[in-house]
Amino acid sequence: MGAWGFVFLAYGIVWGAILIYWATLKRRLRRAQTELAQLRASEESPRNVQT
Amino acid sequence: MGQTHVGVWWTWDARLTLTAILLLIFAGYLMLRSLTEDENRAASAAAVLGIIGFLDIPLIHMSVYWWRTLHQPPSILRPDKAPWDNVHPAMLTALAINFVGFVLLYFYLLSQRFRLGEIKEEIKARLLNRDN
Repeated sequence: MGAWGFVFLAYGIVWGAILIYWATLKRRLRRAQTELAQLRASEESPRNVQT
Repeated sequence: MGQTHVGVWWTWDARLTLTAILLLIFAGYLMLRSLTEDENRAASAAAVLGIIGFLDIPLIHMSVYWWRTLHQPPSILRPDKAPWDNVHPAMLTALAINFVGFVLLYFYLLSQRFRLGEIKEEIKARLLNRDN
């Protein structure tokens, strides 16, 4: 592998890790927001609480 | 460094070794922080390790002065010369743009992670209230 190959490999690994972290963070944030919204809705209408 | 720069994949150069230690400390920090059995204890232990890791940063900077190994002296942060006397202006501009870009990216990711933490805390508090 030439010098440019190593450069692209190094950048690819770093950017890949950052993108994976970003995507994971977005997914976790979306799930947490959904969970919080459901919790709020169940508190506002206690009769609809699902156990 | 590495194969294309100095001709070897690894050498026990002072700066390289201290940076590798910092990488291990960072990995250990993430492992400690992700312990969920006792979150407060995990946070305290990770904070202590974070302080130890931070102490490694001045060591990394000074290592090229203290130990004459493979790595060259600093190019940017050196008291006797301005950065543009050492580094080509085009490289310096690229470095500055990248630095600003990564700082912005860091603060964006930090804000998202902070928001996630806030939501989780609110969920925990609401669940506790509901159980009581």
